[in-house]
Amino acid sequence: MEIILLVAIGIIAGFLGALLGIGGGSIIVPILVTFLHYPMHTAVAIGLLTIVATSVSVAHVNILKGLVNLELSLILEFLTVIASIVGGFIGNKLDNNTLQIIFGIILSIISLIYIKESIRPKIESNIIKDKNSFFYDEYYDFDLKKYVGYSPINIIKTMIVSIMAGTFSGMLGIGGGILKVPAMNLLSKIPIKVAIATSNYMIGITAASGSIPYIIHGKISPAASIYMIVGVIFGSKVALIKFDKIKDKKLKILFGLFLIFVSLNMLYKGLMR
Amino acid sequence: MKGYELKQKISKIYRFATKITIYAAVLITIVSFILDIFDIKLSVITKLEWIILSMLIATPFLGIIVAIFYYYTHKNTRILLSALGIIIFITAVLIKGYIS
Repeated sequence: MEIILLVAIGIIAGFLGALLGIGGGSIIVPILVTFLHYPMHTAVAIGLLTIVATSVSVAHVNILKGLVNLELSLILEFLTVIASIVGGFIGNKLDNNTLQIIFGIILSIISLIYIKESIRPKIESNIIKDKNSFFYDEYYDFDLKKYVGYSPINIIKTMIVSIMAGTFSGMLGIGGGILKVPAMNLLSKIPIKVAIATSNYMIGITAASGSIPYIIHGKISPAASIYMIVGVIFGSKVALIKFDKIKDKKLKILFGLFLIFVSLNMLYKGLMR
Repeated sequence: MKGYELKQKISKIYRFATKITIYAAVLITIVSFILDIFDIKLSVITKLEWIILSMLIATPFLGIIVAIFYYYTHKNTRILLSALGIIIFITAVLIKGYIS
């Protein structure tokens, strides 16, 4: 019965994640801990592995479309990978309750950022185009029907955000795209489509790195991870093929509030035990 | 588009890994479900699960290794060092974990 339950939860998480633009980890970890009473560390490890699976399954299309800035991502990932592994080791050292409390606080903040981003009007930031820039790249925009060139700036600032996201990723089993995408778009002036695709590519590397400490400490449940991966990939594919991405602000805010409720519930449980 | 040749190679690796992972994971899930009904436990299933997960985790790093060769031939030192740094760090963590 547990197999069906895990696949079903994976489908729901993948479906909601793809439609609402929030990573699966933010949904999977609290559900596993709150409803299926999984230990926090196992839930975090499962969250990380599903993130790797979704990232890998989407990245190959984005890379071919030229939406991933490989050079920028490799530069940003050097310190982010280290941060993620350090985060993973810290997560393993912390006890269940402390990790639950930290997760509750961070997920509340992420949910608030998600609500704010949902409300913020989507204005494309001014793209800087300098062909001599080290990170200059271009992609073919199918909506504009032309090649769009861009040169990322403020790399250090984006790197700091990326390191922060990496630490949380390894420690809490979340992707951190909610932090990386606005940073790339607003700080580095990267077009939003490239920011989303590059962040998704980077998240796969970060989550794969973050999962290593959990493997070393034997905190991974391979069976549960496989069932969840099947569900998440299936759910996200169905959502992306059959439905359009939800743009309704009210629904996004409602979902953000639901995430805050879940995170506060985790915080409460962590404090009360 | 910059580095299109590299992007094609990485994309191929990712596509291949996705296909294998999805098919293998679905198959394992179905077999596990059937075995669960008859209350049978096979250690080979756990081994297969580990193989799938290891392959999945290795995919992003395989992409980076391909990038290392590309940037080495194209003499892009900054990216080469960063990519090498990632792989060396991961290898060191894995070796340390294996020893301890």
